[in-house]
Amino acid sequence: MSSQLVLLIEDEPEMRRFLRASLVEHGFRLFESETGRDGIHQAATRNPDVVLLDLGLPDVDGMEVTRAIRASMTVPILVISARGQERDKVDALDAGADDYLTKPFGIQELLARIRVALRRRAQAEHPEPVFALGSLVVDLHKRRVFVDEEEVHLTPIEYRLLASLVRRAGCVVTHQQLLEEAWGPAYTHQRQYLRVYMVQLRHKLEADPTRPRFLLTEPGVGYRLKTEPVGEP
Amino acid sequence: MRIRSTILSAAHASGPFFVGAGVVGLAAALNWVLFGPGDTADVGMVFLLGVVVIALRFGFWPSLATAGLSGIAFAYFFAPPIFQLAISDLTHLVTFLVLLSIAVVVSELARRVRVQARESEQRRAEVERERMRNTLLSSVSHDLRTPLASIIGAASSLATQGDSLPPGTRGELVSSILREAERLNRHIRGLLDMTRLESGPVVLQRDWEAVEDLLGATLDRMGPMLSAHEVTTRVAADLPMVSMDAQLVAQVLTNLIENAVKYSDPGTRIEIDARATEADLVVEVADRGCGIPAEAAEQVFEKFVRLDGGRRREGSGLGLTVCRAILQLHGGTIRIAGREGGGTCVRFTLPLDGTPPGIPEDDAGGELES
Repeated sequence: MSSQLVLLIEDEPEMRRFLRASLVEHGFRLFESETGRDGIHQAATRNPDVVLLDLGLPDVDGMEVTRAIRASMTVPILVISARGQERDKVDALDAGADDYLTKPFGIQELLARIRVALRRRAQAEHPEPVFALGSLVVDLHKRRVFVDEEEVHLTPIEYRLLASLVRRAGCVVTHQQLLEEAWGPAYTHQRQYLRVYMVQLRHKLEADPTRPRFLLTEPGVGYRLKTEPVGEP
Repeated sequence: MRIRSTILSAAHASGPFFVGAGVVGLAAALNWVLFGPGDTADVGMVFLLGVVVIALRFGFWPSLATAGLSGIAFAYFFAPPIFQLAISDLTHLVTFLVLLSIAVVVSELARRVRVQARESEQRRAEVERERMRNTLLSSVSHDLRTPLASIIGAASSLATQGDSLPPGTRGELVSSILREAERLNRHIRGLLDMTRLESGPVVLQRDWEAVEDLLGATLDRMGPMLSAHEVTTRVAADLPMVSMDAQLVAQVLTNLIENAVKYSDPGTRIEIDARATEADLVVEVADRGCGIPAEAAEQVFEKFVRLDGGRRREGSGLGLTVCRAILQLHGGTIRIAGREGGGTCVRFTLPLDGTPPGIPEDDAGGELES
């Protein structure tokens, strides 16, 4: 994990100072960009391991930066948003960003998100056929799901939803992405489908659906399969 | 329609003049019966009374018209020669002029009194508004400055003498900065929520949502804050989905659960209950805390109201105000009441309007083949 390169695209000097001090201290190398255009350029030339992208850039909006980087690279992109930028956040996630952090955040939260995003990228390149999280085991190869060593029988759509979340374990998956992967591109506005099936899925996997251990709702954004506790400030 | 409304408004504007004419007619009839022609002094007094009444009630122009009309009636019916507009005696002309001047003076006095009354009412309202503004301002600045003062204090100690401080003290200062910054963050969040809801029409991002989804997300996000309490949830099976703005309703749940944690002792139980009636989704958040007096049950929804006088418990005094604004946008309600056995219960409702669109059957219709 050490000496991995983080590209930080952020126009606030104080924010950059905080992130520089903390990330270098935790063994990352850092390259900084103050504008979206420069960020896109640096992403292409420096080949970073992670991109941290602030959504309030003066020149280009976050969705455009995300799209430009995604067009040629699979590098994990974490967007940093403030309250009131919910729409921009979801747009950036739909455009291919991996996850988000809301300002203000603590360093532990940032490091946890970076870890998850890096692990997810490694997983995408060398997929492990069996995913285990506490008592939940998903065998992607055999398409079987176990909770507490008991097999859980899922319908095809429930399974497709779970598999989508497992493939991006720990990261948020937007409503649009889940709908597209479970039903197809024509269904991306049918959120009530998603709601119904996620409720069913949660009832099959969770002991207490109101205190979920695995399937987290991100109101207004999407769902997340929990992989480790991430503290909120 | 337009003609009718023009006539109506003309009638409305000319109304005082008709009333004035009526008063003159009434005075003339009364005079004729009581005094008869010739008794110009008494007759003049009755006309005068009519003019004064119109001046007090309707102001300058109607009273002037009434005075003029009174003068004509006086000259025609009562001042010799009778049934002629001509006047034989100069004193009768004086009576008429007195009528006119009384009309002017009384109406002007009445106008002044009215203006003064209005101005003093405005001043009182202005003073009241100013007082409200000051209360809000001092409350906001207190809430923002208190944590900020601790942060600046602790940070400046660390900056100037950080190296010479024992590690224990350094640690304390750092955790105080963190804690107070988080408190500041919560205040600002409350203020931003409020400003957003007040700054104009809010467009709800409505979607069909399952309330247990939101409850799970809220409880997970609040995780560490809830560790000292025993939180139980009871969500009725087969709750219908509700059309709502998920982020805003999650905000309502967060604020209510935060309040429950804040106003009850560690180790006590917080109960969250969701069920449906014919028309509404009903959610209750109940604690075993300090409770709420019945007379304060409405007051707490006002901005910056905290029942302990705003100093002991931390909080912005905006949480419930924000909740109510959000629920009103949804056509829902929120109510707070004390509980039997101590504590507080907040109940909110969201209308079950319409039915969610149908869901197609899962493609295989059955279970996944292994």
